[in-house]
Amino acid sequence: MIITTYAAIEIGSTQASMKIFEVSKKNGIRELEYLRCPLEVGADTYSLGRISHSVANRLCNILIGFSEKMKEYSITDYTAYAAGVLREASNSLLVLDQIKLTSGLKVRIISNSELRFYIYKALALKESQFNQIIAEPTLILDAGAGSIQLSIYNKSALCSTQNIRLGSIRVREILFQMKNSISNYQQLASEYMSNSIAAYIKKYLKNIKIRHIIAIGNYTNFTFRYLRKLLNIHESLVDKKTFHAFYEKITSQSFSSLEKQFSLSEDATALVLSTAMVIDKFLLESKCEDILVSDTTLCDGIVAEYAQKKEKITPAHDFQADIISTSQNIAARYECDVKHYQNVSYLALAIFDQVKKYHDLGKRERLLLEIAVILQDCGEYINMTAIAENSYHIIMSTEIIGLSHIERCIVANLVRYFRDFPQFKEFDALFSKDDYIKLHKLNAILRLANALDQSHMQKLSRVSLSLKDSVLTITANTLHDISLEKGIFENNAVFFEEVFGIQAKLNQKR
Amino acid sequence: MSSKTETKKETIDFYATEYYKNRELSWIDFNYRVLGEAKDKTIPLFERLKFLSITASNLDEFFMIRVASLRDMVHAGYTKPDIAGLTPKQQLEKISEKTHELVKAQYSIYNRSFLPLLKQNGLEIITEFEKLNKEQEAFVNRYFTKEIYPVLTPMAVDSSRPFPLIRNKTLNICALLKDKKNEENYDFATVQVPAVLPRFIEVPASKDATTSLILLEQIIEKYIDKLFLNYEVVCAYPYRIMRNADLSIDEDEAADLLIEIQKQLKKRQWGEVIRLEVEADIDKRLLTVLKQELKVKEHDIFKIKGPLDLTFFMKMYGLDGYDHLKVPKYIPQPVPALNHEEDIFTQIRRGDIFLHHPYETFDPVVDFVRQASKDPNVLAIKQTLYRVSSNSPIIASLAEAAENGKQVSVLVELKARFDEENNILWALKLEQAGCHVIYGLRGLKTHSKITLVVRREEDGIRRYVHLGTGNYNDSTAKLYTDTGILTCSNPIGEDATAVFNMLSGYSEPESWNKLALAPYWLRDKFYELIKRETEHAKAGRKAVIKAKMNSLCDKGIIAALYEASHAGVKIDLIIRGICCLRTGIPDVSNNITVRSIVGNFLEHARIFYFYNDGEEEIYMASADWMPRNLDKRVEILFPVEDKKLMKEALQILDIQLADTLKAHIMQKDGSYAKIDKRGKKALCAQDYFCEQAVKAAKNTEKARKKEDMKRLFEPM
Repeated sequence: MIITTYAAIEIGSTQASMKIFEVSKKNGIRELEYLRCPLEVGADTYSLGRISHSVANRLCNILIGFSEKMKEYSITDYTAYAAGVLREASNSLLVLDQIKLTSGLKVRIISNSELRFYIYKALALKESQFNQIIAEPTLILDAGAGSIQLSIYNKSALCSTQNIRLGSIRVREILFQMKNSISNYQQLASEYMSNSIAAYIKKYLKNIKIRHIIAIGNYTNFTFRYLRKLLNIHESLVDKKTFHAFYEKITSQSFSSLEKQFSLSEDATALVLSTAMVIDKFLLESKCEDILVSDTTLCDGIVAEYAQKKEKITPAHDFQADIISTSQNIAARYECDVKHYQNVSYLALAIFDQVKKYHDLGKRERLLLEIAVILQDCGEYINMTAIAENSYHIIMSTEIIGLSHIERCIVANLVRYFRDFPQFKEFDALFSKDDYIKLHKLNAILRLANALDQSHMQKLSRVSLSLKDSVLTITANTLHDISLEKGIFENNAVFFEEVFGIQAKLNQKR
Repeated sequence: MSSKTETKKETIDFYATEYYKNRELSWIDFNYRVLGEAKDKTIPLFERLKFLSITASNLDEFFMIRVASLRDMVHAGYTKPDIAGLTPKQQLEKISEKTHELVKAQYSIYNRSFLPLLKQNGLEIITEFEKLNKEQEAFVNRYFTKEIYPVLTPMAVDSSRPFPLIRNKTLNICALLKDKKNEENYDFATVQVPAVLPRFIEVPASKDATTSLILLEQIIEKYIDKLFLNYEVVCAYPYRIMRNADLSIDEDEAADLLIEIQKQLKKRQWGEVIRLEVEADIDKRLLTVLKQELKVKEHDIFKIKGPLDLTFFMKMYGLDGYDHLKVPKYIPQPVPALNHEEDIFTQIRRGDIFLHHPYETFDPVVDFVRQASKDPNVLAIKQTLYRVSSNSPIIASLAEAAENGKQVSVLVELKARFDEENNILWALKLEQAGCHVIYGLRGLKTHSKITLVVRREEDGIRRYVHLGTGNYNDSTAKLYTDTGILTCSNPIGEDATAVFNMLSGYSEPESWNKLALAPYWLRDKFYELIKRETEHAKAGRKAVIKAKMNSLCDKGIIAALYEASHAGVKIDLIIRGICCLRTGIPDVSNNITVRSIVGNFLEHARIFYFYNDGEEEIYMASADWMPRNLDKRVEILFPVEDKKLMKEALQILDIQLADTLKAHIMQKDGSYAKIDKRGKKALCAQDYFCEQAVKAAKNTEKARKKEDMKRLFEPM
């Protein structure tokens, strides 16, 4: 039996942590160690905008410790991610370099949407009730130190995910800076957060009746451990009333007495408090029934992703479908033409599959293409003059769960260019040459497919494709007049041929 | 009925000071119990000498730490009363009174029993040099000139030479000198009895003795005039001082803990003098000088009728030729569950292994580390070390493991009392070998005894853990009764990993599977366990607690036990040393019994049993029920879960509770008395365990031989 020992490292806002796992086909994922080191990197980032020298040094020391620990298991395979806390720091690259030089560990900055995606993957693996819960409308509330992530599952599919920058550290830093007496911290924090939460609820929970909340995050876990201890509760699901009673109980006390009870520092107590506040607000406002708390962390997500990639485990939930369904929901928000993108999607993917030999792109690129198709017309929502440009901007500022930042850029750029295609140097440092080529190829397919439903009438709902002697023949089985499509198709076929060296032909079979 | 108890409960304050005993006085009681063993005529003479010696070294330590600490409190104007309502000053007064009595009792035994008894057995201690015969005198003369004289540093005190520094715990001789030229002035002089020479010297035997011994200070006194040639020595007497030796390190200020401790070691000898021992008939003029120069109060002076510092009896025990006056040496037996053929990991995988030292040998623990150091599949070894023997095979194995490329982490407790110098030394040695040495957590002594071996096996990583109640010290493991387990249980392995991560400075785990650790969780765990028993009793169910430890002086725990007793929980405690709980107080502690076992082996194991309405639970720990163990140290409580092992652990408690020979029972007035043996079967728990271990080892040996026989090829 092949057993891999693997380390997953997360640099978060309030702590750096590492989990060591054993991954095998037979036993799946087994956690061997969980190391946590409190370090408030977030306090620097969210108030100074950069990471101070002393914090960076301490971070390096922690990572040296991690790399020592990896030696204990002779681990060579690891992934280290830093989340928002480094993403938002102006000197992040220098800090990463310092880490590399001192500890030998290569840390990558992970985008928020990737991070959440990994965590949800792990959530599905770790929580046996996950699939059962998300069959009903469920809100996943990840109250982090930098931000709160809110995702909605409906009928077992992810429909939306939003990030609100209301993380507990962020709130604390702002309120502590105001030098208000700590005694009314609860009230201030509550006021400060109310507006954003209300806005979210109004916008996203308007048409959906949330039944359950799944909560994750460090301080969420602490809060619930404390709740369980205080109220002597052992069930994994906690109902709304119980939580509210607990919340009332802790907020009726002075800040200093809470510090004592939690046996936490003033800083950490503030974090627990704001986390509890967020949970309570959502429980009350969303009309849900109960809340499940999971101790899943990014480290679990990292290993879930790794194990799946190495085919050591089969995923417990179809996450690819989640990515597509969230994209569809975004499209719905911008009132995109569903029939149109469904048709173009069918055509684009058919072309993608047919010319596989010529582009050598994988499943992941196929997914990006599909998302681009779904979202390509969302710019119409803004105005009809600069649709592609608008779509580009919308996509760039919309979280698409599961996509890394670079992947989102690919999707956005795919829909941005329908006439010319910019030269490599025009993309600054954003894309590598490989990315550029990838983008180029996908763009050619997208254009060709788009041409086939130029009229938005889905005239080509049944096509057959053949590829012979560098000629791609698309045969449309339709009675409609496709002269318009044909014309546009031919224009785009030139670009297609430039890219792939394949001639594209459109035939009609009546 | 229940409402009646409820109202009663409200009226009882389980924290009332009259329900508690002062810990220092309780400790003195313990030393009396040890002294009782020295008095016990049924015990072989040399064993009795040993007990007397122990009372002396115990008393030294007591002064250096406890009395010193109380003195500090008085100096600092600290007046907060203790658990029994006594202020530091009141405690010191009572201690002074009781220790003076104790010392009197020590020397009464020495003079009235030991000297004549030893003589009867042909061993003579020459108490005064005047009693030496010619032959002996010649021998002593040679010995003085050749061995002693070169290492003596006599120091006279006069206007140009200040009073010298007298070292803590050393034996000295002071002399009154008269200038041969100047008749009027008397001078004071002092000389240290060299610690490098043996305290007693065998001289040619007197007529009616087989062995004659003389104490070193007697020889020096005899020839003291040779040290002060220009003076006439008027008189000379031995004296000894005790100084404040409690280390208090301000950890916030110490940048490097190690350096700070080294500094403290040098400073220790400068502490305040808290006890002066002098020979009873010392010259008044000498005593006045000593009192003045050492700044000693009258009540801190002990006038001794006999040799100072009786700890030399421990060395005397080693004299050859007196085996008939000693208890035959017990040889720790092999552990029945373990064999020598298979590696220890295979055997642990078969099931948890229970260890009961010194009845069973400590070898498996040493082997555990040794085999791990050589096993190619072992990735890492982690261990906490508190006190180790001077030539520890465990240290050697750890160093070897590091040299073999294993990741070795060793937590060295530098602040193990009186062992600091030793510990610093081998900590450096381990570091040189490539071990990762950690020094524990700020402000907390690491007292837990845990070893973790991480091994890569076919089906993944497996963790092997040893948890014990005693130090990883192969020498003391022959004398201290301790228990331990070897296990590869996954939940315990996970906890063990978390323990070491915590000790290396990582955050505590979000929850513990099986272990309960001090300082953060252990106290609550004990409260919970006791409270659960109380609830059972309240509900009319059977409720029992049996616990064995070294000391019980934690107010919270005692109050919880009182409450439990009040509710009807039957509590039997086996507490060797200090016990601040009182038994037999109506409505408070009449369901509690306390017994202390003082025997040839030092009782050291901590075992806790809870009946729990039939779902019995049994735990072992490195901690006593003392505030320092529960609040200021890293300690581990671990459950014994295997049914077979539970039985063994419970048997230890039950046999000790049935002991009729060595047990002292606490009486209602707080004093201790031996059991009235009439009508009871004579049972000495320690002897019983020895016999059992020998029997068990024999049986396994037989069974193994039988197995071997089966394997023989039989000729046709």
